[in-house]
Amino acid sequence: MAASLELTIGDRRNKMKLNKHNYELVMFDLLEDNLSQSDELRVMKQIEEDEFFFKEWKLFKSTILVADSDIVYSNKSALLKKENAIVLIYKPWMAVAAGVTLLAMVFVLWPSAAPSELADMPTNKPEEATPLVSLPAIDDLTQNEEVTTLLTDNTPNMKEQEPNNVGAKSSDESSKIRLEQVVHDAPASAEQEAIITPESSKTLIAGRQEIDNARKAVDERQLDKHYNDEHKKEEETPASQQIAKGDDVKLNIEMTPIPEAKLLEENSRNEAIASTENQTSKEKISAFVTNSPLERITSITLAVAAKARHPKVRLKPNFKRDSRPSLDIEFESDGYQAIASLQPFKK
Amino acid sequence: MTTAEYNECVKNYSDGIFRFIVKNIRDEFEAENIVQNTFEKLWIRLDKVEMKTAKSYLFKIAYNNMIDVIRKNKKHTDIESARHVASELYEYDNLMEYVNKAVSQLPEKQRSAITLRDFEGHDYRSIGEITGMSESQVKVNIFRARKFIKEYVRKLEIMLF
Repeated sequence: MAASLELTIGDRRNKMKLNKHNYELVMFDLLEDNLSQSDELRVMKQIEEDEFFFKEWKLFKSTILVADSDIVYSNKSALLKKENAIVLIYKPWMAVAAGVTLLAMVFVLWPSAAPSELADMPTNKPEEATPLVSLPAIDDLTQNEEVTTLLTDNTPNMKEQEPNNVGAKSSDESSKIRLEQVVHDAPASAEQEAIITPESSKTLIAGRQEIDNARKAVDERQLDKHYNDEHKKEEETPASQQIAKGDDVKLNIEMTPIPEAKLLEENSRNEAIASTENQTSKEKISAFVTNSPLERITSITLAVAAKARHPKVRLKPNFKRDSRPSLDIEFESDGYQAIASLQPFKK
Repeated sequence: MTTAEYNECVKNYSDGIFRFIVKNIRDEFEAENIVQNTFEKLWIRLDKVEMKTAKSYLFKIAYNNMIDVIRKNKKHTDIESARHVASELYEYDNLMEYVNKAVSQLPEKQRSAITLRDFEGHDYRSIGEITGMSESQVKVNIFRARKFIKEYVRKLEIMLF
């Protein structure tokens, strides 16, 4: 055991002993720091003692490379990442998954209606003026005597037909007031197309209700007489003479302002008259139905026209003897059209 | 590895990788591209690389990229080096420049091993991981490189003295 240990130490000492065959390997280990501290000391002592080994060792030391500190990578900032950046990792299956998802979304969100059905769907475009609805009375009138008139043209006729009773007079006056209320803010001119606003329409309807209440109180005999006279006049006078043929109805209004106090005085007078008369409810209803239907229609028409822009109203009365008398009202404004057919005249 | 650790790697290792590549291929533009590709690959595989192995990983990627570039430009490099071999002894009066010239003439494995060893202080095992060699192969390659450089420097001494 002791002999083998001495042999090992001897081999080691021999190995660390420099000669011309092993000096490169030993110096390499010395340079690479592969030797123990004691071996380093032993080898270094031999190198210092021998000139040849010293020169060789000097050459070996020159093989150590020194990094050039001037060589630096200048684009470090381009490589740096923000610390909250999301790492996007691309995988081929991601492209497939994205494609499938896209196709599924297209399939789900694709409109169910066919193109032809879509074409039939309503749009928000303003409606074009549609042709008038064919009503039997209108058709007859169109074929024979289509009559249009200015709305105010009826008022003088009625004025002429009306007897000098208070109720009829108040009706005429109230009609005038009503129209003047609508346009009392407009500049005064003899004939001017009315500009009707929703506010003026409300005022108009309120006045209309007051007048109608007063009218219910009018004597039945006076109303009957008025109705008979009116009806008789209408039958005697051809419709073509009453209303100019083919003219569009325009709201031409006399622009005479009437004070509000005068209107209230008129209404209170009507109410006083009504209260003095004894009327049954049937008579009141009869009066309401038969009294001045044209004015009532006019007021309703005006109320509708107040909500529209550039309104045009066309009245088509049908006074044929062989048919029931009726009045067709065609209301037309920008993109809208309404038709009402009334039969207020009972034989 | 986190983003902060990645940025730390950029700060600590980008210069070393760049220097290592420049010493081996002597082309700064190509070295910049290699460094950029190297860190791109690290960023892509950020979740799979640990900080303690990041240095070896980066140098391995850089080394592989460098080998690709060397193989691509091998013909051109050989012609160029042959053209300058005759005059190289007279071009350098500085020892370090002369040594660097000697390094540039080393075989690729020896050059890589010795630059990794001296520039970055990698041990044999780490160099083996980067270059795909065993530890003993690394040691042998480094020994041969030093011996070659020593003989190269000896020529200069003979010329000067």
